Amino acid sequence: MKTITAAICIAAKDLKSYFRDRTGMLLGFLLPIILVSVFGLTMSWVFGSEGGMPKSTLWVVDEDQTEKSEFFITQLRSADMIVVRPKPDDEARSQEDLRQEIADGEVHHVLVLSRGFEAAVAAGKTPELIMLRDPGREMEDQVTRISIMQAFMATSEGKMWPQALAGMMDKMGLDDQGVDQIMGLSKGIQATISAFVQSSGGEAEEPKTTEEAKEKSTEGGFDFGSFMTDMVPLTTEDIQPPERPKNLSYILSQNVAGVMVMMLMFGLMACSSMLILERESGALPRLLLAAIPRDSILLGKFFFAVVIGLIQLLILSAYGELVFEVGLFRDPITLIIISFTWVLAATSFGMLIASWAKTTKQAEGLSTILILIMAALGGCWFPIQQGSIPWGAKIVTHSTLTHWAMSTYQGMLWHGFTWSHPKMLVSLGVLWGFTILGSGVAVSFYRKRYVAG
Amino acid sequence: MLQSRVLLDVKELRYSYGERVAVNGASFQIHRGEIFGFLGPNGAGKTTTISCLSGLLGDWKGELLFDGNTFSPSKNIDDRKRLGTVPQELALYEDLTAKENLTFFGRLNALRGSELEQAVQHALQIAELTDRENSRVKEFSGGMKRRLNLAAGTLHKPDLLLLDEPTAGVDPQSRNHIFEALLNLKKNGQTLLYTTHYMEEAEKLCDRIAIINEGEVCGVGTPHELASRAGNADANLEEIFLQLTGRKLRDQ
Ligand SMILES: Nc1ncnc2c1ncn2[C@@H]1O[C@H](COP(=O)(O)OP(=O)(O)OP(=O)(O)O)[C@@H](O)[C@H]1O
Ligand SMILES: [Mg+2]
Repeated sequence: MKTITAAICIAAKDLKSYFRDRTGMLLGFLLPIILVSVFGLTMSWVFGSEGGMPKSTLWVVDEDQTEKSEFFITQLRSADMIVVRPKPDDEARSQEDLRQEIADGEVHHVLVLSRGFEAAVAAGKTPELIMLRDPGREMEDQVTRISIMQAFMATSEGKMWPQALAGMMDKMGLDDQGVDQIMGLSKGIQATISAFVQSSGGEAEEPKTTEEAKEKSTEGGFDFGSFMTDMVPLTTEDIQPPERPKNLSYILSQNVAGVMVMMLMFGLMACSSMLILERESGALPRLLLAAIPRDSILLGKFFFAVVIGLIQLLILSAYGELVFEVGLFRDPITLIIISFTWVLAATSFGMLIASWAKTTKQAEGLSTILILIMAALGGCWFPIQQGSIPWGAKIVTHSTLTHWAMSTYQGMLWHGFTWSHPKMLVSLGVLWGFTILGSGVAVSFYRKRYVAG
Repeated sequence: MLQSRVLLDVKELRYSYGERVAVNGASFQIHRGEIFGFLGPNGAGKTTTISCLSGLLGDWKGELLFDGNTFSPSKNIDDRKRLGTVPQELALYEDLTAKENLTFFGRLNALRGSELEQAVQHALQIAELTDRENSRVKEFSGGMKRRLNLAAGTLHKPDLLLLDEPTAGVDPQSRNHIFEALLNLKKNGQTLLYTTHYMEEAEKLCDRIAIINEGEVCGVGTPHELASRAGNADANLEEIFLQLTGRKLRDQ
């Protein structure tokens, strides 16, 4: 108990000093906010605030030059996920020209409507569509294909649906029997297809039928199941998790969480080195010689960092909510629990470094490197959790603190989990485990380095 | 029962930084109510000895008896309470005011409420900073900081005040302030250990002096006793000092 009273006394002294340095304090709190803004804005420029996917540019060469082919291109232009070039009023480009552009790396997808497009559609046959593409731009492939498919369905008024589907199944290696079954099914729904295409304006919504489909669709890579639901409106039912704000995209929530998780670590880095600063300032001997248990000095720094960390997270959360409306405060209890847990874990990390390092330079150098590495591996910068990565890499990413912090924030923001959800409990448990272990090691470093040996 | 004259008994104190022996079997006694001088050239082991006595260093060898009892301030909080330490380096928070610094250190030494308030006011008087109590330390001159550094060690009325070169880098005026403050403390019954490498300081201030060189105590006594032991009762302390410690540079 004496230790705690003394620690509070020391933390209060540090807080007084901290808030007295107005510029330093403002910088400490402003820097994360500036970074959140820059990250958030650039991300919303790149990914748009809704789609959660980058817009892909598709060049079109109309060699048919008929009413139908023009209608098809107009349909393509209305697709949400792609940008069609050339613009309506710009000059058309030749196939050869664009081939060269692909070879130069300037263009990645070119759709060629061969002569005879209108005739084929009128006859209910599959017209010849040629896709020229840069194989290095796989990422854009899916959205481009979906957009083409939808424009195509609109153009053929649904007549081409069974053939197109069969062709696709075949390509994907389905056996004849499977193809037949699906053909039978799809014939029945053919009639509603044109209605669907029109009502949705060629837009590809993210349909979710079951919980499982939802999780799959967030995992990126092309997923035939969700593609099917795109194309078959009858079985489509959008289940927007009721709690999740409409404008929250995965990328945005990932981003807000990522910056919060990473910035807290940076914010706390400065606080953690207070222990070293205390020594460098020369005042440490007086603390060591005072009538207090010596562990209370470390604990005081810990308390101080926790208070600053909580203030930082609160400001960041409030700002993130105000500007990006990601729904951080939907579930205050969960927010408090995960914020508190993350502050404790990040503080332990900071203390570990501070009690190990001999100088502030060492501490700042080492923690900058570790924080950047953990931020990258833990998914603060890129949605690593979305991709399927090899198990070896998984071990690496899962061994970062940031991974577990990200999964608590993403669990709350994206999946709408409360703190008591099993997945949340696991992540929270890992962070608490680290907190206990990390502080334990920090205490032993501290005793060795600071307390008379 | 009469209290013993000896407050702190240091027996065969040894301390090494790795291979480097800094204190090599130093023995001396500090008497109640005196100013005990600890005189030695740079690198003699003065700071190291003080660090062992104060509890900053814990793994020394030898024996310390405080009031006749085994003394282990590095492990025992109650032992630490009996000491006040004025470190050689300034140990103050520049961002805090004089009063805030003193209040903080007072609190760490178990002072609370009106007792704390009184102790802080008294310490401000010792430092002669009462009218600057609300100024931040970073606005102070070197002399003012030294005075505050000294006063911070006296807050909890320790039985023994350890001073490690408290006049380093101050002008004669501030130095005189400090001397007066120390003599005042002594008048109120405070026991002091005063470390310096200035002969005239030791001569002027101290009741008894230990001369330390290369980690060993090579003479203890009143200035007069030291002089007669050196075989020249009229010699000043400087001559005795040089005779005992040799003339070459020590901290090489
Ligand atoms: N932290 C340390 N690590 C290694 N050696 C040290 C350390 N501190 C002091 N020493 C060495 O121990 C010896 C005694 O040093 P100490 O600081 O006790 O001398 P001092 O009498 O206080 O000198 P000064 O008058 O310069 O303050 C010196 O040789 C010094 O180099
Ligand atoms: Mg010294």
